[in-house]
Amino acid sequence: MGLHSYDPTGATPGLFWTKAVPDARVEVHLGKGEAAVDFSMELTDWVTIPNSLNPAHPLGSSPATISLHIVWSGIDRTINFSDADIGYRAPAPFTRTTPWGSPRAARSALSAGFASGPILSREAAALARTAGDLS
Amino acid sequence: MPNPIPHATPGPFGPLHFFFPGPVDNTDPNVGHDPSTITDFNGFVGNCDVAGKATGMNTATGETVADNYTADLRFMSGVFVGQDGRVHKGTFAFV
Repeated sequence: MGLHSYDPTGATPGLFWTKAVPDARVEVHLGKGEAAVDFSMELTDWVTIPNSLNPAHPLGSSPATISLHIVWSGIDRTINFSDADIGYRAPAPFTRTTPWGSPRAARSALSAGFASGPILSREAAALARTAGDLS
Repeated sequence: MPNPIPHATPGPFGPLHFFFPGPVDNTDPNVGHDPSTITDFNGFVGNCDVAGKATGMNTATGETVADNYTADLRFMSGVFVGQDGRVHKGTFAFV
């Protein structure tokens, strides 16, 4: 039971699992390694990851809503990074930090609800300020 | 809407425009590097690859069950060049 694999491409070709969240509350204090994000959004529950990636979606889909609250705090490591191949033309700080919170609560029209507890383990987490090309 | 990052990680049904979460200076070509999934973007990016306990519920019957979760969650908030070629401001989530 649970919800999985929302919007593999959304409505925009090539965008992967990425959607606009106009009502998001975002606070970032990069120098302190702190950030907080809160939002709720409507999206599509594709049931499983393989089903979400398969263009035929053989398991179907369902409308769903998701809410998310995550806080990052504490600096483990900061490096300045640039890589023109991925669009970072100027050195940008990347801060490895620690996320906290209960990241997801979700509800789907498939009669599935899901509420996550506190984060217990962290494989990777970072905050960054990008320096992409806007010309 | 923004454009996806140029990088394509191989997927089971075609290329996926994202990097798996990991250190920005990772040597694996498909892990780390850029946590953002959108390009031509100036702003803040946050990501986390996390796990924990959860509760699943059948909302029709009220039945609940203990569950676990793993999640790769990200936000991108700032200005970007949209598919229309114009500069926009917005916040996006990778969920």
